[in-house]
Amino acid sequence: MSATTESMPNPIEELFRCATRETADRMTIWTAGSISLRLEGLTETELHEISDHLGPIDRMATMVLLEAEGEIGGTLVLLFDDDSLDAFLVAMTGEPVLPGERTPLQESALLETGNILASAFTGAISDATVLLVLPTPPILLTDYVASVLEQACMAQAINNEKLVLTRTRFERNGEALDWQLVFIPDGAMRDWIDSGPRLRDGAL
Amino acid sequence: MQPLVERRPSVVMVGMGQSECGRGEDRFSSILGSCIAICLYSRQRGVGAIAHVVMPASHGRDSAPGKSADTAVPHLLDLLRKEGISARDVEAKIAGGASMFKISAGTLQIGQANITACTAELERVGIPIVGRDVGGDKGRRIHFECGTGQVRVEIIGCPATTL
Repeated sequence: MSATTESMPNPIEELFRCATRETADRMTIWTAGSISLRLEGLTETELHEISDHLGPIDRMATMVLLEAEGEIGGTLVLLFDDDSLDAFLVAMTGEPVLPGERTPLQESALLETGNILASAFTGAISDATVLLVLPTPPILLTDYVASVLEQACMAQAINNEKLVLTRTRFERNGEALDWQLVFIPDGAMRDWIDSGPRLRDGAL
Repeated sequence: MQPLVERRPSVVMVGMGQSECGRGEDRFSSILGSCIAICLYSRQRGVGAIAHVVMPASHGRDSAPGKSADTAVPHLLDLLRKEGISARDVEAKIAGGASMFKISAGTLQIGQANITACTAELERVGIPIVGRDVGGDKGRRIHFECGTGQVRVEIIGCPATTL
């Protein structure tokens, strides 16, 4: 962590830990137990220091993006590294992966993975906060990670000098996987976080 | 007699809201989505400055000067002035301002507003924009060489171009 990074208040970190746990449970079912994830932390960071927290972002990657909409929200970015993604797609679809190409079934599997993760994540947040939070349909992108994160950060960056975002750690069969589920709260959720909110009793 | 000091050219990644100044073979790189890289340079003096602009206007906020178009341009000119370079000797190249994705009606699209604001600010101070690669829906990796003012633009799936 950089010197400018600070830990966020505990209830909010617990909220995202709970949401990530729900997400992990769904991911385990979806992948027949082979892939798991957990929250590594909730981070507050300077705009130019995002890569200190998410690893190299000046690379190309395949990403699934969704927005959480409602009373509070944000952008969910599911980041893959191509080698392990290919193995995942072969396991999920039974189809070989050709260089630079994905079949409609493979694209569908990726979008569905995003759908499943986002539904669990936003559902857990909505349940704990008693606020409306719904996922949009997912989109699939292959581009520079930093370019995509730039726009995803914008809703927060307009009014804040530092960004709040979550970091996750993925594992496949117990070994670290270079994937990330990044959640970047929007302006409304950032205001909500900064207001020191209360969560539903017994929510976590 | 002054000691001979070998000065190695640097390659620096310029992140969101940051700004830098360099000379000769110094190079700056940035990855851009909706943000804009404003590259100012003096061809005669071989000095250049870059800002990674995130948004059109600062609205008086005490942010990093490179973050907004209205503060980035004056800041870059200050950096160049410290190198003895007048605004009238400076040219500009800009890149970025993409609309990377639109997931819903509420997706914040700021790329076009950044293009408009950066262009207007450069026009306001009378700096000619001699090269631009802006808009679209793809990310860009750029490399700016201070001495020549060359900006190499890389977009995934497209041949690289030089401004």
